[in-house]
Amino acid sequence: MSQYESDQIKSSINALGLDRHVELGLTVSPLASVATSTAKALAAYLDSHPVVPVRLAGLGTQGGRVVFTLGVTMGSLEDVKTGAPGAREAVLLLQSLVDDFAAHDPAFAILPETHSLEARLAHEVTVGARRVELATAVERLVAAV
Amino acid sequence: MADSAVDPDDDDLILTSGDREARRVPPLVVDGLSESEILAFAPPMVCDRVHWDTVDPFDARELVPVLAAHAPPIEAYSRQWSDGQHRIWVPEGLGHEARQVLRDWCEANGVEAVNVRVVAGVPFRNLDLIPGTLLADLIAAAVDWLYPRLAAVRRKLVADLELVEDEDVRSMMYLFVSDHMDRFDAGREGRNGTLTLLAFLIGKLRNWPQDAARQAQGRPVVSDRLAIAKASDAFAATHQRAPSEVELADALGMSVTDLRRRQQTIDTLSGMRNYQSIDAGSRDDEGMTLEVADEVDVEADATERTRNAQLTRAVMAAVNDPSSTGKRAQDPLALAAVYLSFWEGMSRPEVARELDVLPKTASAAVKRVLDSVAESGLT
Repeated sequence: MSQYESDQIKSSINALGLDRHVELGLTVSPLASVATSTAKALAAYLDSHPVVPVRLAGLGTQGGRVVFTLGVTMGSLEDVKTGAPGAREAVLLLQSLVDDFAAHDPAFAILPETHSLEARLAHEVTVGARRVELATAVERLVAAV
Repeated sequence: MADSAVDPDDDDLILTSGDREARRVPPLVVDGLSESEILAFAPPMVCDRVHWDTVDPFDARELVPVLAAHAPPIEAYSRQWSDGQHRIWVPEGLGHEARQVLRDWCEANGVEAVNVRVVAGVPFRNLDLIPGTLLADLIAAAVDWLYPRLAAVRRKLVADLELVEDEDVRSMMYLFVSDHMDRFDAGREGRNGTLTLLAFLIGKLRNWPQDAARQAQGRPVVSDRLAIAKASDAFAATHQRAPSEVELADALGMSVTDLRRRQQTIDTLSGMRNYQSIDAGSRDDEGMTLEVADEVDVEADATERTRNAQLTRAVMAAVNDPSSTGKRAQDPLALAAVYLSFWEGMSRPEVARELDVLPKTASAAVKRVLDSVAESGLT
């Protein structure tokens, strides 16, 4: 296979969105008492940074805290390997999340399994058939803590 | 099996090198034979040792016939050590010639040999000459005798190497003793007579925890930790209390800022290694912890959360350098490699496969972050 053909196949795969991406998990864990306001601040913050793809990958509770797990996409393997602008933007976004939400112990974490309780709840908030507002979901969680 | 060590009597009191009175370490007796009778099967020699690493798995014994077929023939011995390095021993004075033969052979056979070193004039015994299970029995008898008597070494090993548990130490000690058997020089005479095997091993084991920690964590971090511990002990012995930061910094001849930075580096590295094992454990029990929420250890959760947050800050500071410009300011590859290694729990080859890079590229990326964390002392 020639280099040209190889590049063509790669660009076709990219066009279909089938190339492998690197996604990192980051948890933000506010105390239950400030969870709702943190959820709003987090949503507003991510809305103001649309360049880097971020999804809510998990929503749960742990030891009196509400845990938001964010899935931050750094880009394709090629972007990460070559330090493409998108991948570097993702690093900057992670840095500012770590700095701006420092009071809520932002920390890297593994992304929850698709069928876990946390992932299902996050799915309901974002794209589920019975979609609920994030703030409402958090209020329900806080009540259960 | 072991007939145990010969019981010392009161005549066996000796004066140590530190002028303390102590008992002579007894010679071992195994299967009715004394250690000197067993080791007489493999008389001590003085050899040059060639040791090296290879990128791929390799058996150094393959080189023994190669050296024997060389003109002029070089008589060589090989023995496997638990550290995975390859070693061959050749008659004294032929080390450099053997190294050249080894290099040529490796090149001709596509074996990538790295860091080939020659150490001249080392003691060596060809332990293959000891018949039957005598050698294994002698090693087992030595470990049986040493293990209960070297509690301080055991404790230090577990304390210094966070991933080593109490139950690992006995088998580690067996490997250590097995490794060092070939360099026991029984002919050495000291102020207390001939050196016994146990006395020789005690001497080697005394530095074992430090050497193992240096190998695992890097020399500066371990040296800092030893210096800080030594200065604290010395101060406590004189003043009957723990030193303040200022007093400790004075004793070490460094500034308080420098002392804090070094202590933070030690803490961060320690936390990083602990994190791996905690992470692996929590993932295994994930289903259970969700179902039995009452049994969740809140304090442990809080400690783990704080440590994870500190670790995340340290890693982010390592991969994002605002003082640089352009591509060098952010290191997405290093961040991805560290995340996959420490949070996803992948091995280096798995990380390399996942990121579609060479294993050495993945290792270098992880090392960049670890070095930076160690240097900056960020928490």
